[in-house]
Amino acid sequence: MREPLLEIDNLSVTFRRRRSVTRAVDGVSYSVAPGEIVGVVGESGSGKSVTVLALMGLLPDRGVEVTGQVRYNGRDLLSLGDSEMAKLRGREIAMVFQDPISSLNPVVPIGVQVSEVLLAHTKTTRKAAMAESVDLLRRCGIPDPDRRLKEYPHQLSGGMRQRALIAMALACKPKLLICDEPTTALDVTIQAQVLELLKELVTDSGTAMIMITHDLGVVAGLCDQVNVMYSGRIVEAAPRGELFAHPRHRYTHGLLASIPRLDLPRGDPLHPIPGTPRDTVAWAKACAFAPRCMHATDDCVRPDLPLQPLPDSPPDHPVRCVHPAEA
Amino acid sequence: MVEPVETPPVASEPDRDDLLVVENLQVHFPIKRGLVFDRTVGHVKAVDGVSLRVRRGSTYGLVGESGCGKSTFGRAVLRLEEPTGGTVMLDGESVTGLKGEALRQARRRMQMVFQDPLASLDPRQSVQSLMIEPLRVHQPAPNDQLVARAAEMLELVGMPRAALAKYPHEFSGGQRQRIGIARAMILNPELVIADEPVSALDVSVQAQVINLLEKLQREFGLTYIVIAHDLAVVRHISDVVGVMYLGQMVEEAGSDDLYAQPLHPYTIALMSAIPIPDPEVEDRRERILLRGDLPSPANPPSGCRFHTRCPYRQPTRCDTDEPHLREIEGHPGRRVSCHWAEQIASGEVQPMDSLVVEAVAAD
Amino acid sequence: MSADEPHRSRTDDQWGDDDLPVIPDIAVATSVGLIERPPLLAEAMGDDGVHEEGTSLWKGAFQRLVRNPSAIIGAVIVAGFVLIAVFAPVLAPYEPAGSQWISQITPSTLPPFSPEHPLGLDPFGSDLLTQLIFGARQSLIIGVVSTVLGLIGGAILGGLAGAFGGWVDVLVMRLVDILLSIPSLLLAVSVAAVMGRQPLAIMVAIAAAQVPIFARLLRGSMLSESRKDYVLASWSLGLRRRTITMGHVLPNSLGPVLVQATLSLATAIIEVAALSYLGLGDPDPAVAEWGRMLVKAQERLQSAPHLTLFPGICIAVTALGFTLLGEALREALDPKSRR
Repeated sequence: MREPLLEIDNLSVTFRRRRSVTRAVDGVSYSVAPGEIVGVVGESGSGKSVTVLALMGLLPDRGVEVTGQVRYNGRDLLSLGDSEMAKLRGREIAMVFQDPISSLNPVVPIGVQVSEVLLAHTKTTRKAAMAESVDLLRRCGIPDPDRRLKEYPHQLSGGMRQRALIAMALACKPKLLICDEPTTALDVTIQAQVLELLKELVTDSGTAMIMITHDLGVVAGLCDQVNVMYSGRIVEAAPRGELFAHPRHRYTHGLLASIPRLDLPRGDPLHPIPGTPRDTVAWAKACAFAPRCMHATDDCVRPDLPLQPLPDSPPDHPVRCVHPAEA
Repeated sequence: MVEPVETPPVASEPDRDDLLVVENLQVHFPIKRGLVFDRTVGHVKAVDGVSLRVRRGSTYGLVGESGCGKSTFGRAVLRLEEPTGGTVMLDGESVTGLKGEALRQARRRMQMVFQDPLASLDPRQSVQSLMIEPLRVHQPAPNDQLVARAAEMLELVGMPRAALAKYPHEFSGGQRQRIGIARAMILNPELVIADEPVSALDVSVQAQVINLLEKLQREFGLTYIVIAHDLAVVRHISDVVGVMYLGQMVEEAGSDDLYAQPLHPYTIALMSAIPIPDPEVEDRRERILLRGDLPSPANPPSGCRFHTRCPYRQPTRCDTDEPHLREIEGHPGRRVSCHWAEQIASGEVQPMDSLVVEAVAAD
Repeated sequence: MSADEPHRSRTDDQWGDDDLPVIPDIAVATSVGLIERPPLLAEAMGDDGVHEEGTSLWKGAFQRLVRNPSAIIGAVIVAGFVLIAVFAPVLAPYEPAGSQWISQITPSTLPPFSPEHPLGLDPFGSDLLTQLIFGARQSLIIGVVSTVLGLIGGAILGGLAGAFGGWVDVLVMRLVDILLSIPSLLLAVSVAAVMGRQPLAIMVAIAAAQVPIFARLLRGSMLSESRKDYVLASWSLGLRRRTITMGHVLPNSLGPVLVQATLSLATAIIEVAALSYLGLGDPDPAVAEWGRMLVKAQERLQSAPHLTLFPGICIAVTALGFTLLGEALREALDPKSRR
């Protein structure tokens, strides 16, 4: 096991609005090592994106409270000042977002946007940066990069835009790449191309990667380690082989039983999870998934269930569940 | 209970099992330019000659990626988009010829379930008024009867009666989609076209909606066209699947056959691209990548429309001859639009090496 | 711990299937109906409000409005203005335009403030406070009537264009474009010039300038609404065109128009003053009017600046009140501010 590059330790994010207090992330811990892809799976509102926005310092200051520690190369990211964080962002830690059109500046050509990242973080000339941009775009699978460089975001297709964004993220050879639903807005055939590109990248350069997605299929094909989040907490974490072979938390288990699979015989009915992610209780009172869980009992009503390995599960497979599924 | 639809038997009709027959449907959108007077400078061929038949009580799945024209096709069948060519026959009666009041009356028989239930429900109306509005137009009755009927329909889709007093924005995505479905079903339609019915929903909620659609089909003998980009969902729910690319149908087959052995290169690539939530399967899988992006439907490639991206592209015919849907020997009941389908099926024609991502060496 | 005896009465495959659920003793409403929950869990979940009354968008907007401090300030100003205008005869200490103290006025001096005349006298020997209070009346009547006229005219034109589209739309919008190409004040001046100096002329003049704004706004809003899925859904349900336009498209298009109407009231009040200032106002000198008070005070700007200041403040504060209210309304009606 390599030394982790990034360690998230007991991170919590609380949103305070005029009349409501929402704990979006509630004591989340995970780590990622160089050359490792860590997946974070969850539905909307599970806190999977807020976790990384918090560690990147991208949440608004007002009305948001972030506690816990995020150690990156021995430094606590949460205690860094804005200017220090800005230096790290883009150079050492880069991020790829879901929506490529709103992440790109619509009135600036792609080439300028990519080379700007280089100019901001490295000592280089405009000309050299442009030349390197061409190379980056080519490596990210954009055909004819010399011509594309001069084009504006709206002239590119969705897949090309996402590649351009990945090229920008890779410009300074970051040590950590955070992808937040990078392929959700793309068609499956384009998704396959982009995922292939990301996989190559990690293999070739040893970049550490956090992959945030709602798609269990993407996780199964890409990630080494998987964290499943529900209502702000990790409910199950395991290496991907172990997780998909023995899902133990009732949420993970239910999710896998509820999605139709392309490779299995047809005709079995799906077994949906009842309710919606809105039907929840605070973790401080009970298991947040219990309201939707068909196995819930009054034992599930206890504050702050621990995330711990089960007697019959490997130590690297902790689960937060009172009535876990059979191994 | 809502009464199932009674359809008059159509005797001596050779294909009376087919509820919907679409022949050569075209939807071309004009591209207009000009300062004072708009001049038509070309057409976006969103749907370009699609034919299909849907058997009564069955589900026809239509898959394809964004821009393939599948949604426009669905809307054109319902005359929500005006077709520029071809015919649509519902139960032996032409839909394309209907006008004005006759068309409005006929709409009762064909309904649509939309992708985004928030956008497809009027935000300023309560669920009750949304539900009884169609009844009031087509089956007028005293208000309390209509309300009772709406409540019944809501219960059928798993929503409490109390939902009647609420407004669309007060529900979650899955609940809204249930309301959207209840509203579409309240007129006892025969044909329901569901356009991406689950893709806007949370993963854990999608299965609820899929099961609900299946249950309603069983109960009322509905005929569905399910339009989606997610092949796994379409395969689960459909009896027959049609694959569209750039405004045309490239392959049509029984759901199980299609997944057992896709014959068109596009279908092959599409299926290999779908991630499967099982690491062991993922590691063993070979992926066939497509190069480049979707060409513009305003200016489709010559010959086979797929040839610019096809991993199986051959030096002859592909870029010059336009293929047509045809039956392939040894695969009865399937239609494929590829010159080399037989050779690809037999392994004689192989995909370009550079586009194949080998399986991760299993150790 | 295993899950061999989970506490439940219904099995998994009953979900979304067959029979309608039998309501068990302890049932908690979830989004898919009632599901039996163990007692402690049900208690922990609490009541999730399934049986509450719904909140319509209008109601929700109102609730957001009353929570917005700038809406409250705006509403207080507007309410005060309306009350003063309505109860002017009761509130004002004297009759308006009385001129009974004209003897105290000299061409260069005015008598100082006194307990009888807290704001002093105007150059015509009337009580200034009385004039200001009655001036509110004039502003309110002209402002409201002209905005309502403009709104009606604009709504009819915009509604026609938005509802019918096609050549009706082209025709109406070209007409509106022509109206819009004339500067609004110039338009108002010409209407006033044609109709002569009478209050109705000012109202029509200001309304004429507002018609194109409302027409464009409503048409644009209706066109963008009618492209939305819920309108398509209404068509596919076979609803009548009239129902779709009047019942769905129009109500959803009104928000921006309402906001504009509130903001227009502020502009109208300023324009009333501007027209009076230009000498196109009510010719009857007995009618107190803030704009004209400004004009008459000009001559004494050096010696008695308060004569200009007070009507100016009245105009500014009233306009500010309507603007605050309008902006708050815009915020409240914005779907993005919905929680």
